[in-house]
Amino acid sequence: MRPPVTLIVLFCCAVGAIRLFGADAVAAEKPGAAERGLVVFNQCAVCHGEQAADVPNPGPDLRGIVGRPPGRVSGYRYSRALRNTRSAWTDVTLDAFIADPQAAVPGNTMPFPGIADETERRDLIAYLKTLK
Amino acid sequence: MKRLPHRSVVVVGAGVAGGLISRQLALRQIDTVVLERGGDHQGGAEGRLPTQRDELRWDIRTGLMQDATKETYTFRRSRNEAARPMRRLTAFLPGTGVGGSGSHWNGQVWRWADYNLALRSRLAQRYGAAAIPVDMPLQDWGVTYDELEPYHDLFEKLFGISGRAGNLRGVIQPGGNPFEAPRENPYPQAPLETTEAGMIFEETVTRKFGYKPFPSPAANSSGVYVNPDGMRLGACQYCGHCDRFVCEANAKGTPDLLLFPWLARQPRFELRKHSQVLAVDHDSVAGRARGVRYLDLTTGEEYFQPADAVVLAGFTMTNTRLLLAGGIGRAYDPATGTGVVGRNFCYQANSGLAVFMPGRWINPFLSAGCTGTIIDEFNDDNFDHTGLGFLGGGYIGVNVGSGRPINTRRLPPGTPRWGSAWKRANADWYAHTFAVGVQGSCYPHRENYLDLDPDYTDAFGQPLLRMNFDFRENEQKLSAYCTAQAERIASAMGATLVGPAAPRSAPFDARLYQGSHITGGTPMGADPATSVVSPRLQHWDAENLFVAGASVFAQNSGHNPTGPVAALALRLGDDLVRYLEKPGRLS
Repeated sequence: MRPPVTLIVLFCCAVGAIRLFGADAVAAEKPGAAERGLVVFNQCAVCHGEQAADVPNPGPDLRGIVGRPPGRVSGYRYSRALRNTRSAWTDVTLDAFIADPQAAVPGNTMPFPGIADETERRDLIAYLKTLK
Repeated sequence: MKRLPHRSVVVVGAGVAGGLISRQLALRQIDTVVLERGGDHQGGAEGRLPTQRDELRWDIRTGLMQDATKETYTFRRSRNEAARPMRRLTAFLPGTGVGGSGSHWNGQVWRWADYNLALRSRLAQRYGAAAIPVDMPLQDWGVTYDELEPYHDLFEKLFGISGRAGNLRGVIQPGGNPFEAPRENPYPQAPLETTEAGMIFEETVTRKFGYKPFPSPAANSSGVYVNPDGMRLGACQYCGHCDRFVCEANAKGTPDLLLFPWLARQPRFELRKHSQVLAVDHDSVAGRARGVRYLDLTTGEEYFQPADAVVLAGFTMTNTRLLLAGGIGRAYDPATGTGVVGRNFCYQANSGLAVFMPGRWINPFLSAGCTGTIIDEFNDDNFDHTGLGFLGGGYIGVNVGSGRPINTRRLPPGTPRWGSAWKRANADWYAHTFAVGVQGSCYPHRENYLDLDPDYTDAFGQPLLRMNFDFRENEQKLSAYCTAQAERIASAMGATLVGPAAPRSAPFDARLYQGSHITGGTPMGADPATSVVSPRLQHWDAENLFVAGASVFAQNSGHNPTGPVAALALRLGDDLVRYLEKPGRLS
């Protein structure tokens, strides 16, 4: 069910970028990225969607996620893995986490296998930046 | 006892039926209160990782189920025996809390073959009236599939069912169930992934026998889904913790995820948790229910909730018990075959056998609740029973639903029961074995019924319901026949080892889990002499009292009951709107 890692690597090679490595791994946002990211976010919305109390919402509030350290939403019970992660959520760390959550932060408890498509991830991160 | 302000509708039970009825009422802003004995499963240890994956707590110790130290049932196999209480509920697992059994279910959603709603007529027409045994009180339900089709369709959309259509507006579809009743629309979502075991089964039955396998219809969401009410489902993660568990990924169609959070936002809807209904207050002269008496379990205070209409939507057993305890309708008497409340109590005759294939990697832990591949050739009356000596049948298939470590111990016959050889066999076989299963129908028998126990009471002083049940000749013959078909298929798979085949047989063992699909006790029908509620689910002796759930089934099929439960509940919701506008006997 999870696309093999080789597919991801092949995809990255195909677009001619060495994007898995280095600080400038994630390219600049393209126009309309946040709008397309909202569509990608549909996969996340069931757990991270509405913050109203009457809807079961197993995931933490993502408003302000980009730039903040992991595991810091007050009142949300994080896994030890995320509580102990020090580096802040940036384009790079979010991209790695969304690509393969268990590889990026082993032992985290988000029940999601990841998004293999790099463009989708970039659009999604662009959308996450709009959540204030 | 405190008398509460009058309400339009009071619903007993916040499960699949209670939730769907309330939704139809809420669309018309009808004042509704739902009473649920349990609490909320969302947000607790049962619905988050890693505690969600605790097989010991939720499965073995049945952490989400009815607490048998407070409420249980007595059981006996025949009228000559003394009934004894089930101290642990193991044979079937009634849920408790918001969502009811629908919060911890696997999620198989079937549309039964249309003839099931008029089974007596069908069988009499096909085999002659004499073919139906005298001690098998089969009866027609008084409703047709065509009336229910739009409600099946609506339920599938509300719960985001994954599956492949078999019969689209009368046209048989490749890859679907050719015995399915005709559907107006395809399933709202694509089927789940097929398991390795499913592929083996599919190839065997297609190539060697010419049967038509299809993916199990599932309330496990194959993708991301938004239902007509704007409620969301995530994609199933195939975690293997579905049946007996709450889904932490919000990927299982359940009332607690899709109905009650939406209902909470509707005006004039109220859910009262921890409310244990004790009795339906009934005016037998006027033929009306006045309301229900219940206990607030958080305070111990007793309340009376008066209402224009009372709906019983509890577990199968609860509906029957409340009617018997309230003296509403005549209790069934097996000696004479007269009376109605408690009759047509049915179970299911499930069986299976193991297949061992060292060359195939089965991955049992990677599964959804309904990752099944199934054939319906031997179900109910899908095949000719002439000369077979029984009626009914079952689906045959492979449902790889979990590989949880405590219970997944499928080992070849002759393996030692303990020690290093046992451990080695577990390690060798765990990923290389699966079961071919039969979900066998169960038709009513004159001596299978529910009544009140004369001796035992529950924690609230109410008499326990007594289950009088055994597998009769019909179930044993059908199980032997269907299990032999399963064995024939399993033997053709190229397995190293098959079996042994274990058809369901008497005596019924109340200690073994055999599925929670128990039905009947308050059957529906057009004849008040043989039914508790009318084809509109309206009680024959109290026109403002309605019953919903599998307790209204006249017989149980070789399919899971939730599809018809849901369709009937949605229709009842609409009927209640009509009833409140113009009270009287619904037609």
